[in-house]
This record gives sequence, structure tokens and C-alpha cells, in this order.
Amino acid sequence: MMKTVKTFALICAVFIFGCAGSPPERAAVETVTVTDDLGRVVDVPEHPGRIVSTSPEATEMLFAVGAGGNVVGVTTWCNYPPEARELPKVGDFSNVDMEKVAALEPDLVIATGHEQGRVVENLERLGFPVVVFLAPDVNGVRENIGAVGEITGHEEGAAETLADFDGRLAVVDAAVAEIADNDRVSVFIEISTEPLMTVSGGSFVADMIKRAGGVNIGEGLPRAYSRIDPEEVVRRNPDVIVLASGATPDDVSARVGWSGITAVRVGRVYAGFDEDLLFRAGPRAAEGVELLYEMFYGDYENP
Amino acid sequence: MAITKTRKIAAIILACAAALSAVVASTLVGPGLSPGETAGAVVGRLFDGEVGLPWGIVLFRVLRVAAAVVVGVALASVGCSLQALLRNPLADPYILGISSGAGFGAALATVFGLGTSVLGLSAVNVMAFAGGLIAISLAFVVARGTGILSVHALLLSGVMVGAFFTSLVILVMSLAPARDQHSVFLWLMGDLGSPDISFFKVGGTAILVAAGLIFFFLTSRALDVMTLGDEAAYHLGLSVERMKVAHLVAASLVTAAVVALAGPIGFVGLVVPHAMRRVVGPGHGALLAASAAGGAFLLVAGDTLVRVTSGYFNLPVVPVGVFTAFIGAPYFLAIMRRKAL
Repeated sequence: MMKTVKTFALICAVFIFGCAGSPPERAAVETVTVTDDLGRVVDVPEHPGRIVSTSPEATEMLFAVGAGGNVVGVTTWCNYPPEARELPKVGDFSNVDMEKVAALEPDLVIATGHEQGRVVENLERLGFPVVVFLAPDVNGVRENIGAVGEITGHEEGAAETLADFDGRLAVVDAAVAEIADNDRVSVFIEISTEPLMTVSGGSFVADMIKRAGGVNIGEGLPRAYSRIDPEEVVRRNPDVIVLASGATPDDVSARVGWSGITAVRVGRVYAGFDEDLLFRAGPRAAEGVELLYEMFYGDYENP
Repeated sequence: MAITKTRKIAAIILACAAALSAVVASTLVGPGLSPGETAGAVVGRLFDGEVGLPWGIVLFRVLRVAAAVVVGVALASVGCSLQALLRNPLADPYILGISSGAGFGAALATVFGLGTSVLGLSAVNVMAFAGGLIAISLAFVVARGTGILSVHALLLSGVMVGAFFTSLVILVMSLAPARDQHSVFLWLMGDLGSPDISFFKVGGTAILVAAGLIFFFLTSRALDVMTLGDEAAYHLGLSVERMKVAHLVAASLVTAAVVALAGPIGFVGLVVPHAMRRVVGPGHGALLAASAAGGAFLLVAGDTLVRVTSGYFNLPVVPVGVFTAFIGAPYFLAIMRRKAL
């Protein structure tokens, strides 16, 4: 009951003070200054006790460095690690319920970019410090893991996570360095069938493909996540097709004109893997690079 | 000025020629193969039996152009039929709720991930077809009530049923993950760029559209009479009620089939009959022929433009439905202003 009253008071305060343009007073605490992936400079309380994560990537990073115990709210998309699923939900990817966030009284909110611009704005107006993590590439993930460790006071956990991350990448990097430019496989990754979409340079996944030694046939397309004409895919004749669209290898070989594509002819059309490994800029991204390497040069087989 | 028979025939021949040249041009260009390479692939297949990648692209492109023809013919001819039947210049194939019902079916299939395909038809195709027919049946049943089918009641119930299904589409989308929202959103614009287009899908739709078109032609005199109003038509010896129902059934089946194939591509069914009426006059025999050719031309040309801009200029791929709306809406306004509607 007391908590409800406090929450109500907080929301009132937000309306009264927030609308007047001055954030509500907070108890003086030690702060760390963080520059996030949107270039925002944010004063974050040191070692925040209560953290709400509206980003599956951030949730994974928090648990990986050992700050999982401080996470008090997540989104419906935060499915890893399994413990995260049990936590209170504040919304989904693009719809975050401000009242639910406020009710959890977080000291810090970690959000992602993409479609959460409004969410970030509203949370700031409510007076909550918000950090946005949106790594543009694999190296960006490393930095973010370090930052999460620093903010939460789990520097050691972050160092361990990074050691594992770097170890996995180093093995792949060394293997890829052995492959001559001419022997690199060309790759088409399908992220949606209707409409047919793929990734181009500038997307996180494209960087993972590069790290795994693949040449992305969508590299020069106009948007990070771009539509592509089906006949363009046939013309570029990829050696490997990675399906993250729900389509199956059988669907692809049934497509008119696609049966001549090298990947289809030699049966290197992959599906049914854990797509989160490829699309999350979190600690498992290194596993994603390993997975892609296995598909490109290893003996990966569809489950 | 009366429109002479010669002028009508000339206009129809011209429209067919335009559609045919669009088909040839469209088959020759695209991001995958240049016109020269396309011709080379065809020659290679015919004389040397080569069936490599280029021939695959040619097959895919032929199928896509065929789909554009089928959809364009279907929408424009259904538009003719419904504008006469409903005696309303705003009538188009979607006015009685088919596109919204189909959208709901497609949205459900997308969100519930019903990806399994039967005979090359995806769940989206099947559910869109079913949804479209359910919506218009509902509009029909409500409009009919207990008495005779009034055109006004049909329009009202159709628009309302459409609004209701649109709200269901938005409900499904608001509950769906971002990726599915994007798929449904683009489906609703209408597009011919699906990689899963198949000979079975296009062929099946073509047969249905051809049957519908033949029916419309055979009853074109009845359409002429019906534009005079129910009472006049009745006194001229037409069994108005049966003709209305038959046309509604034909129009619904044809529209639901093409929407299932390509999504609700807008404005073709509205604008093409108006444009052609200005050239060949209101008689439905000539109007249907000219509209069918005009619809095919507009959609094939539009889809070619869409493929060429994305392929050669590396611009984002735009759904062809956006193009038809972009051309169609201003044209409609222009002829309205000249009081030629």
C-alpha cells in the first residue's frame, strides 16, 4: 500500500514538476558520466540498485556481468538468460508503459535505439537517467559490456565476459585470416520474405558477416535493413543463404529462378538456428560470429 | 460529340498495343539482367537449351509481368462492373470491404506465423482470399436484410464492414512484433515483388480472372441497362436482382483472388474505368475491353518503374501500390475538376 502511495506521489510530482520543466529532486548520490551510443552524455548514479532494461541486449549484458540481481524490470522480448523471463515486464520493443517503469522506481533505465526514441524522451522527462546502448558493430558490443560493468560496479564480471567474447572472436579472426580473398563465400541473409529483405553495410548483422569471413551480397543497398528485388538475389548468386525470415530451405528451392543459385544447388541454405545470436548486439554476439563462421566454412548442418 | 464505333475500336486497339509494349519492355528490363542479357538468355534457352541463372531470372520476371497483367485486368474490369452496379463513381473493387477482410486474413496468417504452404499457396494467400470473401458476404447479408438488395444499403454495409475489418487489422498489428507489423504494413500497400510467386498461383488466378472477364463481357448489355436504375432496368425486362447477385459474386471472387496474390493495389480499379469511359464512352462492352487493357498497361508499367528505380539507381524498393495511388489520386481529382466524371 505504502508503495502504491509513493508511486502515486511520484507520478503527481512528475506531472507537476515534470511539466514545469524541472525534474524531481533526487537524493544526492555519486554519479558516473556516460556517453551512450546516441552520443548523449548522461549522469548515471554509481552502482544503481534498481535497473529497468527495455532492451534484450542490455538485459543479456547486465546478467552476463553479474548485475542480474539489480534488474527489476524488462520487456517481453527479454528471453535470455532464462531468469530474465521471470522479471516484471514494462512493455515490448516499441511500446513501453511509462507507469509501469515509474512504479518500479528505477535508479537507471537502459534502452535501445531503433524505435525507442520517444520512450527515451518520455523517461527522461519523468526524471529517470536513461542510457541508450545500440552498438553499431561487434566492437561496439565490447565497449558496451565494459560500460555496463563500470556503471554497475561489476568490472570484474565485465572483464570475464569480455575475455570469453574476445577469445571466441580471436579464434574466428585467426581462421578467417587464413582464407584468401578469392575463397571468401558470398552470403545472402534473408531477414523477411514478404517483403524480401536483407541487411546492408551499416547494420550490426553485416558486421558479424564480415567478421565471420563472408561477403554480404546486400552490402551496397540503400538502407541498413533493405528490401531487395528477388531477381537481384539470383543475379548475385550467393554461395550461402542464411534464413532468418521463417522461410525453410525447401521454400527457397521452390522459388522460381532460385534453383540455379549456388547455395541452393549445393544445399548450403541454413535455417532453424537461434536467430537472437545474430540480431542482438549483446554478449552472445561472439557466439553469433562463430555460428556464421561454421555456416560459411565449417560443417554446419541444419537442425 | 458521339463516339463513333471506329473511334472505339481504334481506342481499344491502341490500349491493347500499349499494354503489349509495356509487357515486352517490362520483360526486358530489371535489376537482374539487362535487356541484352535477357534476350541472350532467351536465345540461349531456345537454341542451346541453356537453363542457367539468367534463364531463371527470365522465368521469374515473366511470371511477375504475368501477375501484373492478371491483377491489372482484374481490378480494372471489376471496377467497371461495380461502378455500373452501384451507380457510384467512387466504386472500386475494394469499396465493399474485400480489401479490409483480406487484410485481416493476411495479418492473422502473418502474425500467427502460418508459413506452411499447400500447392504453392501460402497461408497468407489462402487467408487473404477467405477473409475478403467473408467480409463481402457479411456486407451482402446485412444489406439484403429481409427485402430486396438496395444499392445504397450495400454501399453502406460494405463501407462499414470494411471499417470494422480495418480496425481488426490494426488490432492484430498493435499486438504483433515489429517485424510482423512491417510485413503486414507493406502487404497492405499492394506489391508484386514476392519471391514466392509461382506458376500455380499466377495461373490459377489468371483462370479465375479470365472466367470473370468473360462473364462481364457476356452481361455487358445488362450493365448498360442497370446504370439506368433498378426500376428502369426491371421494366426493360432484366431480372435485376439475379444480375446484381451474379455480378457481385463474380466481382468478389476475382477481387479476392488478385488481392490474395498481390495485396490491395489501389486506384487501378477506380481510375482506369473513368479514364477509359472518357475515350470509349459509357457502353460496357467497349469500356470493359479498354479498361482491361488499360489496367494491364498501368500495372505493368508501374511495376517496371518500381523494379528499374530500385535496380538501376539503387533506391529503396517501393511497393507498386504506392505508385498507382501516386498517379491515380491526382488523375481522379483532375478529371473531377473538369467535371468529366
